[in-house]
Amino acid sequence: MYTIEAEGLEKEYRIGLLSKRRVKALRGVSLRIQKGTLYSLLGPNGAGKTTLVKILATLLIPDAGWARVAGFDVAREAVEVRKRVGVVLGGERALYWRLTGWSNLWFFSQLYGIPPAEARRRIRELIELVGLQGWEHVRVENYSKGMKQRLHIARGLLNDPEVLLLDEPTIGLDPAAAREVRGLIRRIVAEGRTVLLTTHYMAEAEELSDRVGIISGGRIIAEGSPGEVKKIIGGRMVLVSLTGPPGEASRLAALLGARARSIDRVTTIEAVVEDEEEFIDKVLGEALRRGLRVRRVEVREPSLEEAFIKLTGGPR
Amino acid sequence: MNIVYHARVIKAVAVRDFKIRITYIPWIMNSLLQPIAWTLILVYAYRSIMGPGSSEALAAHGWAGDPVGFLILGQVLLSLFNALNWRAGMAIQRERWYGTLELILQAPASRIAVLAGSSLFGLVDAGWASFLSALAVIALTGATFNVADPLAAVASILLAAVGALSMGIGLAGLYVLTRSAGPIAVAIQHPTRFFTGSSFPLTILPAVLQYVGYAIPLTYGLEAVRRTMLQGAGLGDVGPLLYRLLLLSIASTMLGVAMVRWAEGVARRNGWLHTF
Ligand SMILES: Nc1ncnc2c1ncn2[C@@H]1O[C@H](COP(=O)(O)OP(=O)(O)O)[C@@H](O)[C@H]1O
Ligand SMILES: [Mg+2]
Repeated sequence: MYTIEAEGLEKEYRIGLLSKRRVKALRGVSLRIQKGTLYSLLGPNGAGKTTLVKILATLLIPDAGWARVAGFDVAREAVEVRKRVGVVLGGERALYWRLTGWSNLWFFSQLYGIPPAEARRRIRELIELVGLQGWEHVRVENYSKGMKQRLHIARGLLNDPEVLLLDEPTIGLDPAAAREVRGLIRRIVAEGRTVLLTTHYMAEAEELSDRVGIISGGRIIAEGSPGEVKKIIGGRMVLVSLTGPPGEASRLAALLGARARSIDRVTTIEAVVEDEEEFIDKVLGEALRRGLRVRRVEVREPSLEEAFIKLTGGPR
Repeated sequence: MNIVYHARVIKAVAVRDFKIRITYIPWIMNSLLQPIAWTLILVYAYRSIMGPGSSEALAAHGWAGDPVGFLILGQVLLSLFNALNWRAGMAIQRERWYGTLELILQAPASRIAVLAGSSLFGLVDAGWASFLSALAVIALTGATFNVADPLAAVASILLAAVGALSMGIGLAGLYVLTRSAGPIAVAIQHPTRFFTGSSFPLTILPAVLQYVGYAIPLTYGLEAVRRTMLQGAGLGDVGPLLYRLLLLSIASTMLGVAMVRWAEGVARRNGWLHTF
């Protein structure tokens, strides 16, 4: 049984009122998320993560495709979806800085029509859940970034939602604050909620999720358990710097399906590969045959960016 | 259930606005002192140019009665409108500034109830400030009123407030369509001061400009309040004014609500909800 389902979602933004420039943020995204699980959407900046979250939260209407959240269509039954979904878009703003944490939560609880007695109880619970006891009657302008983020999450849980959408919940937080937020997310999933989280940290997705989807250029390009996805984007990054006859190194890179970058007379061949030893052997053998001299060899973990290049088959 | 829900939303919005408002003491001082300053400027302008003859000069344009009272009532209702312009009118824009607009619209609450909450607070907030500043000017300069029909006077004041409120809601519809709501809200204050006849009898304007004035709900409210409080007019005298005021107010409110709804749809299609 899927709590979040999407099929063929597309969204294009117009830049400016009169300009003809357009940005295609989603190019046909389909998604299925099982009830009570945590799904991470992993992707670099501009991949379309926030756009997807906003469509599922009923804040954006897709150009094509459909989505159902908690059993209701986000376009045609927006109000029903809103009652059952919590959204955390995060950021420094989006709270009333001049009000206390308690007043912020109270205000939003009333927007959800929670009866006063129940709202008071719920707010007390949530303040405890997110660890803001002792701070609830302090103005938000005096909170640290991490405290604001935890207040955001408490706000997202006010209506006891079946589904919680978290857009980059740890962005901009220091490691300790990020760890606290991740612990909080784990507790939220343990309560039986379905959580969709976006992030551009591989480690975060790996640590928290039941499933991971990789989004790039408005498409989900890979999906699976954290282990599977790690294998897909895993591999090793190999860099070999060469000098020698002009153009020869670039031809070698093309032959091996690798990228080549030249600075002065040094050309660096780089690729993300499953078996780095085999690749290095191949490069060295070919280099010898072509009269190229090897200056440097480096092997390391690929960054997410580099893994995307491997997945999408070249720079976008 | 639904009524209770709406009432809770209205109350929560009004209380929130109040709590934020009291953290800005200088703004509160401003809303008290501005109308006093404006009215005093006008009173002394009248006195310096026309001297003791200002009563007759005003009467020649159909406004028999105390010129100071005439100016005070004009200023009170104008500052009520100005406050609602910033409260009801800018309610949605203000959420954009706070960065909370998406969160408000993501809640299932009625948008009209949210707007009503901000309007309600605006009415109360502007009401006491306008009233106190009027009392202050009366204490400083003296003014004579002539009320023969208190019921008519109260009805006129209430409906004038409704007119000001409806303009605020109408403007909210205009403001959400633009991304320059702040400058427009500022720009609209002085034309309103001019066209509603808040500081002089509208009849001295060329006919074309008078038409503009009579397209504004506040103009009727102002006239009804002045007739009932300065000239002892009764309900029978101001009935037609109040009737037209009510019709215009309903039209302005409906237009504002329709535009706010429409703008939300446009913004959700274009991804504009978070921009400011
Ligand atoms: N409201 C908007 N108006 C215009 N372009 C937008 C808007 N929101 C996002 N974009 C563009 O759409 C693309 C996807 O953005 P977004 O969904 O925010 O990606 P992510 O959250 O993964 O960083 C980007 O190129 C971004 O510049
Ligand atoms: Mg984003």
